[in-house]
Amino acid sequence: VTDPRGIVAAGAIALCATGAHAAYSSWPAVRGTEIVVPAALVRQPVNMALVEVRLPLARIALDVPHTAPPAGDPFEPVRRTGEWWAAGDGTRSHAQRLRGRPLYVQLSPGEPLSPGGPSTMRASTACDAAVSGAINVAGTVISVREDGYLWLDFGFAPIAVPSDVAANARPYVPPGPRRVDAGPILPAADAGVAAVLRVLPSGRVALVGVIVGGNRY
Amino acid sequence: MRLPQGLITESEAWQRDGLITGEQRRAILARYDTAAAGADQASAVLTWLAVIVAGIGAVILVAWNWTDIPASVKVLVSAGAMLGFYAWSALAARARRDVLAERLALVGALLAGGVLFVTADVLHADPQRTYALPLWAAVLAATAALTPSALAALVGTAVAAWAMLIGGGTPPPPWWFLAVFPALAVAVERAPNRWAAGGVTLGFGVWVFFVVLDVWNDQPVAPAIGAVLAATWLYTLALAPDARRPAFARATPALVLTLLGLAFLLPSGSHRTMSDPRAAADRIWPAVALLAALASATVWNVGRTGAWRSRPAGLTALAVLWIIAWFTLPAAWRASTPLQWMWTAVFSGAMIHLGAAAVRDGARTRDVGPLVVGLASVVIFVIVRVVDARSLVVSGSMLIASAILLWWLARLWVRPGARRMAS
Repeated sequence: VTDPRGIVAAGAIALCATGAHAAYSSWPAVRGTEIVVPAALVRQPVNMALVEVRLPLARIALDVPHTAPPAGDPFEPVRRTGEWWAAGDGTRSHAQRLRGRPLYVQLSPGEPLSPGGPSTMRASTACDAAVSGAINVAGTVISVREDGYLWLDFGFAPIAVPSDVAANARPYVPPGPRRVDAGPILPAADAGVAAVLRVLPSGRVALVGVIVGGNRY
Repeated sequence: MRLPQGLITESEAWQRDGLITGEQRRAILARYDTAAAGADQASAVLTWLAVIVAGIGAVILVAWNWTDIPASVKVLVSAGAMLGFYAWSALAARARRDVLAERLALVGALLAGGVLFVTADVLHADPQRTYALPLWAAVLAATAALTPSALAALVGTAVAAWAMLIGGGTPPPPWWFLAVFPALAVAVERAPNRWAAGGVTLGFGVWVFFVVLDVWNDQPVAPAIGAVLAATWLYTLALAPDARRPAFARATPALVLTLLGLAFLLPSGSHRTMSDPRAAADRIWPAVALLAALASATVWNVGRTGAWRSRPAGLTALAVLWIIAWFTLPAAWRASTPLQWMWTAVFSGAMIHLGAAAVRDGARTRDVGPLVVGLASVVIFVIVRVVDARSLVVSGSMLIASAILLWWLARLWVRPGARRMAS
């Protein structure tokens, strides 16, 4: 036998859950500091004027001694802060342990996106905790290579752009093997393309827009 | 009038048993129009086809223009529809239209998922990172328990399993996800249904698998608590045969134990060990105390109900021991402490003893088959550990073994449950 009071309670729980989710998800976008970072746009499998935003920050090379940059790849090592990366014996198991953990990348101003425009931010240090006073961006470690390369996931969903912008984005490549470090490393960012993020001091980050050719969407 | 389904075979059985004559059977069947029944079926099929085609058309229409719809409209329409269906369901329940009320509440809970995904889409946030699926499973579980609705429990279980499967442990489920399964258990207790019961058990199996996977990845504290909570929950549902007690009470111990677990987890910060590597070893003692408390409660539960005397219960106990062994063995292998090796020896002895008892009691091959699978997977584990060849094969074998084991557990659980319901 159904209970009207139970159904009302279930509706109240559903409202609270969806409301809390909306508040939690929108908090960085509302309260965060706006920054601009270089980005690349990738088309979606279905042409719906949606593009995936990929950040060069999603792959960082640590300043570990044995890191070997791939040929043709700009090598901009990120300095480690703290003792979270173990070198030498046990690196492999340590690297496996890092998967799924949050990693905080501290940003510093880099080149301006356009003459007189806002500076794009670049990764300077990486730590296993948010650094007070710095601009932190928290990502989840999804893959680790023992020679000091880490792949991060910032949890961005596709964003809507005009159809012509989507048509000029990088083509969609179906996901291959789960080991993302197995394939060739693509250029990190597209010229004139940047992502507009809002970040909280805790490192939580929200994607609020993209800049393509000086136009913000 | 439409010919009732099964009347032909049923009347044939009546005639065979001498309840009616052939003449009477023909007279009964002549009261119904078989041609009309066929037309009805065709009409129903065409109607459903039309509904499905119209639904696909509506989805394509909205999806194609999705980026042009203002964000506020998306959120307000989806949230308004969700609340509207819950309100409609409450009104239907008040009018004693129970079936309609249950279905409308389910639609409301399904739309809650829509609200969560729309919110994530509007904010360009990955739903997986904002725990949209675990939240949706929690809403479905709450709706299932409060309505009560077996169908909502089944859908909630599917969503919970989906969340775990696509997440694969990255990011790990939030700590409050532990409360979803007891809520689903309460729903099954309030609205008994064998399919929902089996589904919840299998969903729980998926959870256990990922708990084991987390342990495999050297994150022992919180997953261990999760495994023991889940195992205790299984015990509570599978081994509490007292039908004279209110059905709700059978799930209550699982709720109490979950709350206890959370009470231990939150102050100690152990729930953060899934995402914070620094909060680990020095905070293991609350978890160890919890393990001891839960193990004692489990032993007490088995002794109180006398469940250890029955073959299914014995085999269930064996299965739970097997699950616990999965998180004990890796730790034993790494640490090699005498206590852990002693526990492994006790586990092995219990497995052999219960297996022998099952065979002595006349267990059929299919009943002891999962034991063989369990033993084989333990052997595979040990071999792999020796040669240090971690691979997808191992994960796959664990998954298959867990699936077979949980299917078998579902059979053990459903059969006594169905008998209780029948009585």
